[in-house]
Amino acid sequence: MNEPIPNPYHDPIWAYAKRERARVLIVSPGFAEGVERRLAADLRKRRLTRYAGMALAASVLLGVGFIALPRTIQEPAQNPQPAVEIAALPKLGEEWSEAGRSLENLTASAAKPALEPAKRLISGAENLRWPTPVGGEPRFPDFEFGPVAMAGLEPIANTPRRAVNTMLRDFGIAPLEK
Amino acid sequence: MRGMPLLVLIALSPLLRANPTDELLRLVPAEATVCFIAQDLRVHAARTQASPFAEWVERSPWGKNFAASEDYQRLLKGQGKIAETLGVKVEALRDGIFGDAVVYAYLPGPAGKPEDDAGILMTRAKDSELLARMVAKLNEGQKQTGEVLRVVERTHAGSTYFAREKPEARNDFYFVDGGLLFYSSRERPMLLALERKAKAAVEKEVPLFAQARKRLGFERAAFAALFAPRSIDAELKAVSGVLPNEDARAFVQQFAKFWATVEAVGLALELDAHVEISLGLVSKVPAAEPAASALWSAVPADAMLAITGKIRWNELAETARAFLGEASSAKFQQWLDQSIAPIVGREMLPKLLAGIGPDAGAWLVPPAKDSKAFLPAFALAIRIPTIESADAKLRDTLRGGFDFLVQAHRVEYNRTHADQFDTETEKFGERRLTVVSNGRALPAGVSLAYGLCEEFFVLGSNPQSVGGFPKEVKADAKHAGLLVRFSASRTVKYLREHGKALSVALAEKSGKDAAELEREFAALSNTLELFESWELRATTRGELTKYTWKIEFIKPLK
Repeated sequence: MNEPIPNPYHDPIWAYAKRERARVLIVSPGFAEGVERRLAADLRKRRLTRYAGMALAASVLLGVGFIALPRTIQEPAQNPQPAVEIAALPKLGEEWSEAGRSLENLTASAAKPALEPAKRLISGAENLRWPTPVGGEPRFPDFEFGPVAMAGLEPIANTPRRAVNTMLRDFGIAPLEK
Repeated sequence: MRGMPLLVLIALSPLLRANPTDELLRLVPAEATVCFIAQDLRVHAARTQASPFAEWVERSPWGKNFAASEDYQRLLKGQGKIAETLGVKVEALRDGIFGDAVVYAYLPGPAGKPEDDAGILMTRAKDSELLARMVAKLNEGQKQTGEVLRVVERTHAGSTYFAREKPEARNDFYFVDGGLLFYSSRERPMLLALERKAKAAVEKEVPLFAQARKRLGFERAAFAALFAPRSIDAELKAVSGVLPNEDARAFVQQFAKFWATVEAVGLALELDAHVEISLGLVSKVPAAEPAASALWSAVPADAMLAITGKIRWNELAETARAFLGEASSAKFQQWLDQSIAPIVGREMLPKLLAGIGPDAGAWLVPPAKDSKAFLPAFALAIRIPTIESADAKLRDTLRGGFDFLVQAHRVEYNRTHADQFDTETEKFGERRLTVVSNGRALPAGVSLAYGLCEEFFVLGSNPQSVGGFPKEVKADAKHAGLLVRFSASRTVKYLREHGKALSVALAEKSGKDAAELEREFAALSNTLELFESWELRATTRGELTKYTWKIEFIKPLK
């Protein structure tokens, strides 16, 4: 058990605690360090969640654009099989890669206007801090297992990620970042 | 009359033919661990392009920006050039070749060799002539540009396939039989798929992914991704054995136990008048049917965001402990003993965890029209025992504990700041609310209020949020499993009315330019304008559990 830290407000608060049936008020040293460590872990988790949200939101918005918007640039309409001069054509693989890059850029730019302000709102809320109560706060256990456990669950995340990357590679689109 | 059954059979024969997606899934190599499916693209594309939503989005600012963007234009031009080379329109390719069903199966490489990961694309084309023509054009065109050196015929498992030999040995492979097309950038999946095809004709057993699709209820999904859960068991076990941290080991081992019960898992996107994205999970252990939270009846009609659920706190604490190592579990208990237990009373803590809930929820509503507030008002509610119940004492315990926490924070703040927090008790009808206010530290129109409202403890960002909590709340079956509801249209309305004040307040906190923030909020509004609402709901049916994100657009998709 940790010893209470001496505090000028100890007595009035103790009296208040007694009155309100709270029997023990315990504080612990190292609270700030613990908070700092947890905040860093929290930040990593939040960043991961944001990226996942970003990818999902981008897919929905991109899907909306492709499905709902008209094709303002039309392919040759008169003859479904025009007599094309093959030798004059650009390399199909290059065209395909170029289309893949445009798709990749669209994914990022479709989501950005929606996600940037949302991120700003969240970071604004993150800046809010409660005042520390008189006598400090009991130290929350340092559950540092989060990132390590996530590493343990890597096989679950790794398989879909490799599958998507293999598909993107086969379709000539740049793979996802790890 | 004797000829009738035969005629009926002939008439029904198109219906009796296997579904194209099922047919393709039967051909997926057994070594595949993930399958991506797209089906009925022809129908979905036609329906959506003719929808009221498509008409609306074309005229919306977001749609105009998207259509005018350089990348979209470049993509369309690229598509046009590819279509020109192949001599067919993109729409003809989509409808005639990929319109019924497309499957991409992923086959992992040997352990430690991700570069050997491979996949195979399979499609059942409606227009087999178009397919043959497209393949011939592609080969011809790429031979002319030197991208393909030659196309070589090979045979495996009784089928003839082709290797497209390319410079630097970056070959790819395809197989065409009528409307059936396989394509892979590696030879291994092609050989395995052809072996599978040879066996599939005589095998009666339904393959893994076809079974999974059915069990997950994804038959109607326009897009789906299916995973083979057993494919990662060994890796999961191996990883849990080598983790250095005791907590991490406990966590992964507990997760592995849960994962062992999972028989099918996948993601799906269904297109109807709205979009539904579902995470489905079939477990050996049937899940309990989710009940409706009574709190949905307390959520104000104009809420922008609401989250409610049924949380059994003592069960949650037990589950959390199961995922911790012994030492951390003890530390967690110690934390409870030193933090919450002293406030509510050590012997009261287990009773409190068992006695409160399970209904719990929170929501955000736009500020009242006559208020000075520009921030949305929030409320948070949790069910507590009734005043007549045997556990009625818990009501005072909870309130007393909360009073203590508020006072402890208030005293410390007032000790170190010039501006001061005040607390006072306000009567709101028969309810006694505690209101915490500070005109300088809190934004305009915000003061923390809380109190007991019949069967609920309610906390809010102003007295009205708490005092206005309804006297009676009732569960409605239509809310069963509903967890989150977000109203995009109300959020847009809020941003348009209060975006400026919000930008100024955020600019003060963050040091950013208020005008820039206002422009960002306007862009956010333009994007959100596409949507009416989002909902997250959990449903169960026997062994199947689904979490579905329903996206309703401003106009229907069909």
